[in-house]
Formats: sequence, C-alpha cells, structure tokens
Amino acid sequence: MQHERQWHDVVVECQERVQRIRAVLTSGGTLTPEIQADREAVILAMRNWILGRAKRFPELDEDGVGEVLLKTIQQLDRDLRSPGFGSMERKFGAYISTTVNRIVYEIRRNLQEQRTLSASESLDAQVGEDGLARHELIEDVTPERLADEYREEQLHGRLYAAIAQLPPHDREVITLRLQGVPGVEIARRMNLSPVNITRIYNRVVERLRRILTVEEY
Amino acid sequence: MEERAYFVEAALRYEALLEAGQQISLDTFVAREPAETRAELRAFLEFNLTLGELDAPAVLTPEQEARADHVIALARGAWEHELSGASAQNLTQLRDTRRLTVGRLARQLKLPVDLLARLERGKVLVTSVPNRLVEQLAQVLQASTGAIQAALLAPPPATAAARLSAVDGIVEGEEPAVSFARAFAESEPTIEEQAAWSADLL
Repeated sequence: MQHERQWHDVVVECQERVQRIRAVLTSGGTLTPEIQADREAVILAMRNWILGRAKRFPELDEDGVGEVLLKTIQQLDRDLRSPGFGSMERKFGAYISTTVNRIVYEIRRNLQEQRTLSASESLDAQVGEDGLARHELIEDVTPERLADEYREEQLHGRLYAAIAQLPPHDREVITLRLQGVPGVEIARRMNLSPVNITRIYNRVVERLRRILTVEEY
Repeated sequence: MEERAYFVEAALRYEALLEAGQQISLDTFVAREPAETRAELRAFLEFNLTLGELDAPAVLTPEQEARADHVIALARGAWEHELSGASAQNLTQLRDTRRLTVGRLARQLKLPVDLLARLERGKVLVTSVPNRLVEQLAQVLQASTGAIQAALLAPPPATAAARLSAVDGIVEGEEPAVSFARAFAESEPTIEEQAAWSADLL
C-alpha cells in the first residue's frame, strides 16, 4: 500500500513535468535549462523504479541492468519530442512501465539469441543422450559425408586439391579438423576463439561443398 | 514510427480498451495489427500484462548507486552538449575531424585497436565505458567530456546488421554488444595496454 501511494505520487509529479516539456519540444521549441531540469527530475524520480523492474530478472547482470536504465532514458528522450506520443502526458505511469517492460523484453530476447547462437556454433559441445560432441552428429555436412555421394577415391583427390587452394588460415583449420583435432584445441593452437574457429570451419565446408558440386557438373 | 515505439503504443492501446470495459481478447486485438508484427506483439503483450506497472523501487548498494549515477551522468553530459547548441557527432566522426586513424588514436590511448574499433561500431556497452576513457578521449580529440558522452550515445556509422562474405556468400550473425572489460579481454591487449587499463577493468 505504501508503495502504491508512493508510485502514484511520483507518477503525478513526473506527468506534470512531462506536460511542461512536451508543450515546448513538440511545438518547435528548443531545449532550455528549465526543460533540462524537468527532464532530469523525471529520470531521478523514476530511477529506482526502473532499476527495481530490471533487477527482477536474474539473467540481467549489472551491465544489463545499467543498459535498461540507459535505454529507458534514451527512449523517454525521443518520445518527449514525438508529437504522436501524447499518451505519456495523460498516463505517464502506464507509458513508463510499458516502455521499461519492452526494453527488458528486448534485452532478454537478445541474450537468448546470443546464447542460442553460441550453443549452435560450438562443435565440441556435448549433445544428445550419448554425450556425443556436435561435430560427431553432423556428418552430413562434413566433407567426409560428401564423399559418400561420389566414388570415394575420386572425391578424396578432388577434395584435397580443393583444400590446397584455400587460404593458409582456412586450410589449417580444415586440415586439423579432418585429423580429428577438437575445435577448442584448434582455437588454442591458432590463438583464436572457438566461435571463430567454428565460423571458419562452417564457411570452409560450405565452400568446399560448392566447389565439389560445381566440379561434378 | 520506430519499432519499439510501435510495440509500446500498441500495448497502451490494448490496455486502454480493457480499461474502457471492452471485452477484447489478446488474439482478437493482435489479429487487427499488421501481419508481420503479430507473433512478436502477442508475446510482448503477454509479457507486459504479466509484469504490469513498475511495482517496487530497487534498494541499491553503494556500488549499484554509483553505477546508476554513472549512467545518468552519461545522459546528462549528452544533454548539456545538446544544450550548448553543438551537433552530436559519433566517435568516428569526432576522430575523422581530428584526422586520426583508429590505430593512431588507439596508440595514443594505449588501447587495443580492436577495442576502439568495436567501441566505434557501437558494440561495447556504453554504460561499462570507464570515466577515465571518456576523459582521455576528450583530451586527445580536443572535445568536451559532454561531446564524448554524446558521441558514445549517438548512432554509430551505418553497417550491415549481418556481414555477407564476398568470397562464399556465407552470412555471419550480428556482432553482440559486450562490456568494456570483455571487449578488452577479447582484443588480446599487449602488456603495456593491460598495465594502462587494468585498474578500470575491476
């Protein structure tokens, strides 16, 4: 109950300031020290409420929580100048809550996408009930698997000829990989990140596949 | 209307309908919106309705308080720069004005060049950039700290969201934004660079 009263009071105060700011900025006026003071007062009044929402999400670290605050400030700044965002003058509490919720939603989605990308790129990650490394389960996209579609002895000759044409960096990655050296070990030897090794490997496999397919015709 | 503003505005419209007593389901509301936004709009509306209004202010430790102040100081610096009537330039534009290459500026700052390039691409979280770097950038680029803060918040030079290799046509995903400390570590700093910035990486 205490919080509800506080929230209501803070919203009323901010809404009055927002109305003053928008009366100037949406009618062609420019920023003045008075408007800046109002804008900063709104941010300071809202700061801990915004952070309180962001901190509800354990996946957001301190940098993530700081990003929520910064992005909210930037969005508020844009919307204060937008003639089409009149709702913030009438329902500031709903506006700021929805904006913060949207920013949290976007940041969490981006984090999830990054995690998915990292997981999908790690060839050495153990997957499946047997605990096999991913590279052991994706033989259908490796050069060895392509060999099944050709006479093996002919293909191997062409494959290694194609590998010999690759830039040294790419050639080293694919050669080590074909020797069964794990991605993390290649990364260590070449002083690159495992994600970069996976990217290089995927790119090279696709390039080899294309070379061999074109040669076939 | 920019993407985020659209979703916020749509959520406010839906809440307004509910408050006005209209019994309208999420599905019915979403079905009236542009087809390309429906799936995401529905997921966001559910998220937004579940969370509701901001309901509990955070109780901050002194360290968290300092971080929050740092964020607000960034915005304040940019506002003061705007108030001075100067136009906001991003870091690349400021550097170009001084006719400095990324490598030369990085050497002057004792920063790994990869890190500085990443910062210019907008792929370092601005909230994690140390104040000392802001001050040093201001000194080397002969600009105010407000101009540097505005530059950090300004849109970076336009680049493709995903890179397409001209050699083989393979699309690589968008580069994620990471903290200053992580970007520093990933830039393989020299011993001299580590010594120059280790105190700011804690």
